[in-house]
Amino acid sequence: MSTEESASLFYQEEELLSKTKKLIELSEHKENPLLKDLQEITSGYNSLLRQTKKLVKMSDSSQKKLNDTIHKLEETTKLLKEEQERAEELLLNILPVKIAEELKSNGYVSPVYYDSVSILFTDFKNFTSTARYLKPQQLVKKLDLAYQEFDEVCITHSVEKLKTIGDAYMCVAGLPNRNKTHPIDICLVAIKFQKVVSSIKDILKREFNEDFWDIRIGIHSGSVISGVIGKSKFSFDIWGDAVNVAARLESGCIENKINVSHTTYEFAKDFFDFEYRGKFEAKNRGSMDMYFLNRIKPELSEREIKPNQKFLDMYEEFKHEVDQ
Amino acid sequence: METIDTKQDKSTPRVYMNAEENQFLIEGRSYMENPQVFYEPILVWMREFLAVNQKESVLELKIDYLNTSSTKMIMDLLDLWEKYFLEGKKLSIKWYFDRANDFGMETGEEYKEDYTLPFHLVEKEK
Repeated sequence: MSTEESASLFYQEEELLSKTKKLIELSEHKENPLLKDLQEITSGYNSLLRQTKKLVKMSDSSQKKLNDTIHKLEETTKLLKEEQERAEELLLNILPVKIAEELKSNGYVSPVYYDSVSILFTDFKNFTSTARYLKPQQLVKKLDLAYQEFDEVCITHSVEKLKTIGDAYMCVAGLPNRNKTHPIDICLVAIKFQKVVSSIKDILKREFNEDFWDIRIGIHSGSVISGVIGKSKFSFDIWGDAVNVAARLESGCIENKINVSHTTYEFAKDFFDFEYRGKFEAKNRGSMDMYFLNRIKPELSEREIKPNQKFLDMYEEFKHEVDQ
Repeated sequence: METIDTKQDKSTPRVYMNAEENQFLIEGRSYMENPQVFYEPILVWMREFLAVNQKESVLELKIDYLNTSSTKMIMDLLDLWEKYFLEGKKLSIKWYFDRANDFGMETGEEYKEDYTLPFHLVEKEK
């Protein structure tokens, strides 16, 4: 409320006071005790009105300040919330949602044991030798062509990307949210990765007459421990013998093929066509059977790589069966 | 006269009224639930003191925040000082403010407008 408004607010009181003063002035009975009383009352009223006007003015000014402060506080809270959301988004970019939540609420992440997950490794053949003659920018750009698509595929199948190390890409199915379908999910991801690479190859050759690398993929299912290491630049990772076996299957793979362990094969054999390759030596594990994953079974797919309705029905059933 | 010396807390100012030392201070924030209960004994004390005081006295106010009811109580206190000043006593007010606190400074200026007794606005030392 402005001063002018306060003035008009007390207009009637001012008028009353002024009329009373005039009455006292014009009175012919100056010595009348009643007039003296009226004079005193008027003086008290005058002082009261002065105080009231002042109080209203000061109170309004305080209230305005309070409102301005509240407004500023709201703005700050809004900015703070935006910053918090940005920080959370960043955290979610480097950590799985469940892990990021745990880190936020506890300040640390406890290691978790998973008795069965599926791990996938990829690597590009001849990457290191071609890296010598490609400019670093070109190399990264080319690699990113594949990795961006790989990330999308992982999101579609709820598979967790763990990391890339140079030309190696590592992801895992079945954590942090446990599920029974992880061997099937990871096989679908591997087939899509293969398709991504072959499409990039075709486009680069056709449009720019450029080559792209051949991909090798290794898959194994087994137990791992997951956790977050580091104090800054957090890294969510998994450890266990199963990780080494998956890496070994990848290095033992031939170009543009998917090399799968017997464990994964056993889980996924009803959904996909496999081809037995023989045995391989895994560190600390002795010899193990390995298979090429060729494709989704013809009766369960459309255009080779897309699961059909029957596949999806079986997938749902599989979830249920294993649960029992 | 008995000295008034109250402790300061988040909504109650420190009040130190010592007739012997000729020191009169109110310091802090005032937004307690019932300012009348808090200030009434101070006003009674002050009325008694001012009626007999012959010295030159300064009321020091170091107030950061007042709610509306406390503003009225301080006004009553200042009215009392003004009344005795108009009667010829040597009285003055020192209103201390912190430049970072708009409220303290502006409230001091508002009060100053209304009184004829010497009313000094003093910036607090950092």
